[in-house]
Amino acid sequence: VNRTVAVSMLEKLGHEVDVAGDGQAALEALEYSSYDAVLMDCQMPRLDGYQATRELRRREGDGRRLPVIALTAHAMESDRRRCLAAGMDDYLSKPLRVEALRETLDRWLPPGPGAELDRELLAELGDEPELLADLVELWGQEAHDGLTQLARALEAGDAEAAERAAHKLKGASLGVGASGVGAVCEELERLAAQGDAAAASALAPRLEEAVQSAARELREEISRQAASA
Amino acid sequence: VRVLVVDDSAVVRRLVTARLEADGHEVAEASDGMEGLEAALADPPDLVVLDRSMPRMDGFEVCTRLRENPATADVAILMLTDSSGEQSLAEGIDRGADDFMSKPFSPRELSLRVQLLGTRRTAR
Repeated sequence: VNRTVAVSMLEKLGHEVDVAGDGQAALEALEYSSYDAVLMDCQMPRLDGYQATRELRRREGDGRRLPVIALTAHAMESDRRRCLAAGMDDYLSKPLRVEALRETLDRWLPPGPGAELDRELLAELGDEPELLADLVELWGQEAHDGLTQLARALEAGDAEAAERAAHKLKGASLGVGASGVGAVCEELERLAAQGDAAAASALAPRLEEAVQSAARELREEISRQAASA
Repeated sequence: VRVLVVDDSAVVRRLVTARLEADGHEVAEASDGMEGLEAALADPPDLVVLDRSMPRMDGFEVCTRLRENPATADVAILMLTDSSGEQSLAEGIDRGADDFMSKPFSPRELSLRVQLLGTRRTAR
């Protein structure tokens, strides 16, 4: 019963899930496939969660450490310590709540595709794929111009012009749902407003990366929407 | 409702215009404060959607100038701010804006606010 609940919550959160019935089966699955995280029940037949995690950590050695999140029936401090001592990274107590599950996974999973997008706005634009395509095209042009202006301003040490360029790009990015880009712009704008051109310059490459990844994700979003329209 | 959208970002203008035209409003655009002021004075709309920060003339200044001129003193003004900070709210109210939305805004909410402001204005 618990397993079915956990699986349906994970799927609702957009994750792909494989199920193993006990610790031994989990270790076997981990041998054959690659995962981003393990939700490990502590109480299981054959090999329990603590033993399975210890064995997993032994096999990993100094290599990549897979995030293991314990599922425990108890929420006591001593249980938490026991989980961490076995090599687990985090723990969730039962009954599992979807909010807690989401928060915990967010801590341990790499940000997935689309994590930098404003889902609410894109959902609102969802029934108008052509409008979104238009907006993304306009934004691509504005982002290109904005990055150019920003680079020029930073090179000239003109913090005020850098602030204006970052501000404008922020507005355009928020309008198209590129909230990750908006956040970097805001930080850059703040630094430029403080006259800290050096710190603003240091942030410029990250802005460029954010623009590129948002452009990629927005294009994917358009094809998704077009496919479902 | 006849609406003038004043924002220096083409993305924001397109987003606002698309939504308001879909609602059946008549929409014109201007890409900075100066151009917006000139357009509003030349042909006063019922409502102006006005960005706060723009080159040449910012939204606050446009607001003041619109209120000063008898032709546009009664125009409804919805300001787009980039933070929900109290300071810009206070200054916007002081300059005569009627309503505010902070970016990012929901197009659906924009639609409702324009409807509310527009029907009040045209009823006068």
